[in-house]
Amino acid sequence: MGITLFLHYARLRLKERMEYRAAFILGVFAQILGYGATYLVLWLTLQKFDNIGGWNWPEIALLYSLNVLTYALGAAYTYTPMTDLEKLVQQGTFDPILIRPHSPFLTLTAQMFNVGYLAHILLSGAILAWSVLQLQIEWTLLKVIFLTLSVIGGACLHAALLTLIGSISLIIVRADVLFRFNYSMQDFISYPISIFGPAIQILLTTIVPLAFINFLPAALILGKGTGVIPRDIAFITPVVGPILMWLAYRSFQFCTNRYQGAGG
Amino acid sequence: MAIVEVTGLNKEFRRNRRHQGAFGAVRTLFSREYSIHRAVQDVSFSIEEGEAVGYVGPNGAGKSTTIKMLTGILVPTSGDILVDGRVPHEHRQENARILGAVFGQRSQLWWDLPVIDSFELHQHVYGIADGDYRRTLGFCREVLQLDSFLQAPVRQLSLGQRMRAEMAMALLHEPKILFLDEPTIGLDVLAKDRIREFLRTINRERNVTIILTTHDLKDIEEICPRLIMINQGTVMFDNTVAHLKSTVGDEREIKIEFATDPGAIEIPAGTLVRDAGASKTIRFAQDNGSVMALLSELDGRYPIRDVSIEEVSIEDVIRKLYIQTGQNAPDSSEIDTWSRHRAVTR
Repeated sequence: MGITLFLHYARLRLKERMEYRAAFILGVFAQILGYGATYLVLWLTLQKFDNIGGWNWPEIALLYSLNVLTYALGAAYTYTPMTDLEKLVQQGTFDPILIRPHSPFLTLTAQMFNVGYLAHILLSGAILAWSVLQLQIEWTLLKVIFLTLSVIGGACLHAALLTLIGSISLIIVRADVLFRFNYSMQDFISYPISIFGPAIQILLTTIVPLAFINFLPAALILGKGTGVIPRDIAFITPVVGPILMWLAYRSFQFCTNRYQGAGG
Repeated sequence: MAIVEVTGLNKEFRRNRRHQGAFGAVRTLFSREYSIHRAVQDVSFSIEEGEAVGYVGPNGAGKSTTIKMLTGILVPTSGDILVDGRVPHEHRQENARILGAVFGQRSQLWWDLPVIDSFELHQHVYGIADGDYRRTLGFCREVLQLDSFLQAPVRQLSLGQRMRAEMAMALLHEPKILFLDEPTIGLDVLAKDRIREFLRTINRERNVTIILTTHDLKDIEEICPRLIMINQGTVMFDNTVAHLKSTVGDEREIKIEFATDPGAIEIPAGTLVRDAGASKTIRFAQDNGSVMALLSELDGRYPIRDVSIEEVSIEDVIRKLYIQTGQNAPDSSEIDTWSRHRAVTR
């Protein structure tokens, strides 16, 4: 599936949302308010404590914005199809997707692209830009490339986790517990994970490698300590996301084939 | 060469066994017991390019399961399928280009967008050249009379209009085979006629192979010369519609409401099956002349207020076929899928 086809799908999704313009705008505002509240809580905390684990307010703002921005980029394509998958299977609307001339994963993610993540991108993008300006980082070409690749990698990581859970839902049908688990894990990475115990730090770099989304790349750019985790591991950030995405894609294919064998 | 070749096709579904009683739910969670439901059993047939075949049977007979295996959505438990020389579930994406599918109860159009948007997306999904796209769309617009609602959002269409749009979309990439799962379900008589006319046209003029499932025998009579009937997962009839009629006898029941009770009447070609005074039901075999002849003859003698002809249902035909082949006719409770289950423990 080429990029022009993906854009064609995205354009139709946008046009579709514009049919209910008021609902769309309201939704965008609601999301901005919701995430805005989290920013506010972080800001208030830092007013009182000055820093969290050695990270001041602009640094925390950068850390959290990186998480929200990459989440929005990944979830725009994967959140809606993956959380709706069990419904699609029950209603039989998953079947026509299997007889399209592209892979079911690509068809599904393009067809169910969610324009609503514009809200997250606007908010986190603006705050990210602000924090970068505040921090007076010595930018080198390498750092710019690293940050860009980290954002792409983080988006892949978020998408991979949602896709993995989605593909599991093809087999066990009810996977909302797993989605909830995924979101509770994400609460950890609103903060520098060096403030947690070593077990959690290791968990978040290995089994559920959320640390690669924001903590490790931010720590590398800002020159921060990384607890028990060696900081140099952050250099692999740009490849962790794509590798996991590829694994998630394969698992989705595997589970689709199993679905076809079992018949739902 | 046959475009669809099915040999010894089987499909089994496994269902976990649910336990009853106080700890039933817990036992269900830990048990490895399941029952096997055989949805399709040893089905074989072959379809030549350009044929129009009706695939009929009662609910739960295995029709949709067969269609899903032919399109590559489901993988058979055993047996072979070749569609255009390829195994469907192994070559889903290549096969997608030569097959079109319409599912009566599931729309493939974009609900909130004008019909034409779905068509244009379809052009890009299938990589249809502009010239081909315009030509096929032009043909569909004319035959299906799409122009009046091409710019309207799908949610505003009537069911009949929506089905016409679904048909057009399924044909845009000029498939060799068109699968239709209950394309006329819920439509009024006029809309059904339009759909049937269209399917006849594309079958005869464009040589598109048609495989359709339906509950309406009229669909078959008007579109498909050939009929494959399945019940409880096995093929019980595969021949022409004309042959079916001569096998089971083309009998219909006609209910006549007379203006006044005519008393005992003389029926020239048929037998009286129910008599409720002014309302009588007559069973009539088509080989004894036309219904119209019978009616005009009766009308000459007794004033008739109303007439209704009961359609022959597929269930009736199946029951008759069972009787003819010497098997016991299944009563409706036996068609229940649960009765086909065979418990397996592992």
